[in-house]
Amino acid sequence: MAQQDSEAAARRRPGFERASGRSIPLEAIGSRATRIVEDAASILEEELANGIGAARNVERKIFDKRPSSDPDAVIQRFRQDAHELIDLAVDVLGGALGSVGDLANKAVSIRDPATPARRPGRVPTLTMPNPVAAGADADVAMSVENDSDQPTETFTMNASDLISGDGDRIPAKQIAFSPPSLRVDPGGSEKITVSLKVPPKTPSGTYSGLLQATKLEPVRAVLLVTVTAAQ
Amino acid sequence: MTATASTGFAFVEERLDRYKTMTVATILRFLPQTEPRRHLYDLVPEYPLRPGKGLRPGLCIATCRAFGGDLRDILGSAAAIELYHNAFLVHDDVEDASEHRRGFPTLNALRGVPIAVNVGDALNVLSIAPLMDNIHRLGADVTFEVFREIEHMVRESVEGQAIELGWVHDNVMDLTPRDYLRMTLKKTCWYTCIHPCRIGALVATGGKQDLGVFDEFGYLMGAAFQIQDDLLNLVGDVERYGKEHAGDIWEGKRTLMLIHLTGVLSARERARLEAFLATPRLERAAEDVEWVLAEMHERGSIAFGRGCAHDLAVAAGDRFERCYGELPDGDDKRLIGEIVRYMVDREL
Repeated sequence: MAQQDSEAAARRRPGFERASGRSIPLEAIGSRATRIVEDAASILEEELANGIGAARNVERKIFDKRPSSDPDAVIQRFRQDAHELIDLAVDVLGGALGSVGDLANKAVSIRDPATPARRPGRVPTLTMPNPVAAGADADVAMSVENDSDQPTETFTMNASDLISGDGDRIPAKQIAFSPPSLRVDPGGSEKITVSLKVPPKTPSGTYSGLLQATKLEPVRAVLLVTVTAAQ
Repeated sequence: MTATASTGFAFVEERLDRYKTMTVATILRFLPQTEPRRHLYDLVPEYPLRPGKGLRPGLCIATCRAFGGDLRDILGSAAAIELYHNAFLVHDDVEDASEHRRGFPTLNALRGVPIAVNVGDALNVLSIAPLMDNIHRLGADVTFEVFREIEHMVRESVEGQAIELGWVHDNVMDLTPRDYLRMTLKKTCWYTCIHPCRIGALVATGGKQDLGVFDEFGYLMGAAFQIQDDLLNLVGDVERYGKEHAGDIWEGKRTLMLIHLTGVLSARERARLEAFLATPRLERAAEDVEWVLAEMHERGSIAFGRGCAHDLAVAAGDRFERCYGELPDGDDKRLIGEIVRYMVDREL
């Protein structure tokens, strides 16, 4: 069983099919194939065949056990046997995430009221509930929650430009917050309305940008808005 | 979600934009809210938030969905791939001493090389968290397989980059198209096309899909993509393309067109080219760059590159049916098919 599982896992490695001897019929590539395509096909064969040998050496050293369905066992194997860089990175991230977890117990954070629960260490996303036409306005509410035993300082919210995948921008000045500044009592929650005025000639697309509180740098969120053509 | 009436590249660009936005939002959700910020975490989103095609996450997500997978299952892996991609871009700009990328200053131009290198390292390291987070949705076995795909992907990329950097460092002049194809396979194709498709299918099918079918498809598509990218650098509309005109010649990058040119010049012209490439970038003259570009046009190197890109894309189209042909029609299957054509017909 273990050997069958091992073979099944091996078949999923890049290049196994080539190492096992199956080749690509050139006629299957197409009658218009020029030398470049033929070269590409042969190079891929060579590289995969070279790679499979190296992969087997690595896997003989590291993956000498059947992959386990036990998550703790998998992660533990990473910590013991994985590449040095991954091992170090896991240690660093584990420490960082642990610190964030501790901070989250007494942290101030933003929450989209539509989201039932937040995850410590994650930047929440605020999404405008509906697409907004160019030239129109839209609002979305968020709550700032203070889980600590101290009141916050009075802070204001800032926004970056909103940028689309095509590089179009909605300037940050088009975003307003109401109230413009506030403070949150210990254990309390305050609502902030984020208002967006989309300039009339804004190209259609999905725009995103960062919202961040002054003096409370962990308090940040991503604002997402879909802009459509002017109606 | 029903398909829109978009036709041509509008459909491709709209879908890729949508998937990229989701991927970047996933990246930002994993961004640590700790110090140091000014010289690290505030800079990490700089490249991912910039305009880009979103090809890699698009292929990954679309493949997953075309195979019946859940969007939520694939976003973590797509985010990891996009983080690696942006890490390569940051480091690539440092290695090439580039000052602009798509109309924006590079990170090394903005903040200096040391900070840029470290931000690039952070983009790499931060890709591990979403991959580990996969375990909650995908289970241990598939999560582990995704890690193996990623390990192969990044190792091939750094090897390919080392090959290309070595050519420039050693001023290698006797390259062939086969050398270019091998370097491009390693540096670009594995992480741009092959592994995004493999991982998408892996996640969607729980490892049941034969992933090897994507190797040729992704390679042919990726090679066509890279050659077209190099062509646009030489002959593309600067305003639309957003990169320095003939920047690759300034850098001495061994593109397929430069390799072709090297093979057709006379001995005297070849010596002039070799001397140009041996000159440090800051000391190169614009008239020599223009000479190289003019010779590329005159000697058919541009036409050669166009023909190769076209033929590779056609071959990729043939392979598309082998990978996706049996799947039900839908927007994601359509997207992947049209990306192949988009690869070579795009203008940016």
